[in-house]
Amino acid sequence: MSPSKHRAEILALRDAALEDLMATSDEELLREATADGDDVEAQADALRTTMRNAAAATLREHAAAKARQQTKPAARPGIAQLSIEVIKRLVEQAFQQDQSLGLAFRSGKRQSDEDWRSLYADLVALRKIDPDANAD
Amino acid sequence: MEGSVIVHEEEEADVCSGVDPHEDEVDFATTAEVREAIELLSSVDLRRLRMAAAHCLAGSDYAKSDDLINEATRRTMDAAEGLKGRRWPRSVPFMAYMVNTMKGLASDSRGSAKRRDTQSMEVLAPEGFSAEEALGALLQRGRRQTGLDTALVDRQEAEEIASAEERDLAAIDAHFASDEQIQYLIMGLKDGMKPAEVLDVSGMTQTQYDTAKRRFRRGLDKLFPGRRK
Repeated sequence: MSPSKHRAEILALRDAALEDLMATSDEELLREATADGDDVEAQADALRTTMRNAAAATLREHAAAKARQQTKPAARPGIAQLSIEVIKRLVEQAFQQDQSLGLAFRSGKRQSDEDWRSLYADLVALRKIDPDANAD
Repeated sequence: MEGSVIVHEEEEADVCSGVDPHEDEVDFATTAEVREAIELLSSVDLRRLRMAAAHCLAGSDYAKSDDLINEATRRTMDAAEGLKGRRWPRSVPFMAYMVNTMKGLASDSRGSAKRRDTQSMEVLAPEGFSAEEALGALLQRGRRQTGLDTALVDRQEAEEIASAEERDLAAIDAHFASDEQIQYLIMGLKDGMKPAEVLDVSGMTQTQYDTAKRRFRRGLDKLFPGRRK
């Protein structure tokens, strides 16, 4: 049997279970919980706390993102604005400061301009080059 | 809040405000209303929600019910703030909305290695860079190797999920092997039969069919206790 057939069957069984669950009355669910020996109130408190925390965390993240946006520094020079000579100089400086970086890129003499730009972007992402400094 | 309303269409993928041409016609909840809805859920509502989440876990990347509920809550709050997420239309009961959102999230999570990478990069991305920018830079750096790695991971992930689904189906068949009515029910569901067709084939009454469906749902709760908590 194919994986897609398995998938379709799993979803059909899931939907039937959900349909029954949503059609079950509150009273019946409580009877089931009692039969299972579950502490409904304690479990509900725990889940409500989970949801409450998730909602609060999301709001905090939104607020922090807004604050970061408001304090964002002036636009930094984009890679398209930098000459290949500047890019090479910045990359070589980064290699001098961190010898381990050179292992992956050798001396750089046989790399294409596109490779230099790609490497520059990588090093900025890795915080090995500060794009706000030395761009001239 | 009883859960009598359920929509069979799965909730659509995350959306951003301004992309839906009909969004002006729909009234969506605010973050305050989402939080209020959470507070208004009764103990039984929360039990129902957790059980619904448990049923959505099969074949998804989520390990626990609470993980899925947590994610649905966060996506709803994101959308209520106008960000990418899942929007709760005020006209839809919160419980029904949450169940459909969880169904959609669980389905979307299947084979989500790339999404997990992006989430990891949200933590690792340097200040001033989005997760996508940082991930893009790193992927570009090792694009040849990463392309192969990603394809391999995707394939392995798909095989693992398919294998897990096959195991789940076998476990379900074995668990209900001694209940003939549930076997008819499962056969009908798998083959896409209408309830009336199952009644016709099995000789069950409507009441017997309904109680078999209830036993089936209760049996599933007990069959997979490890991921139902």
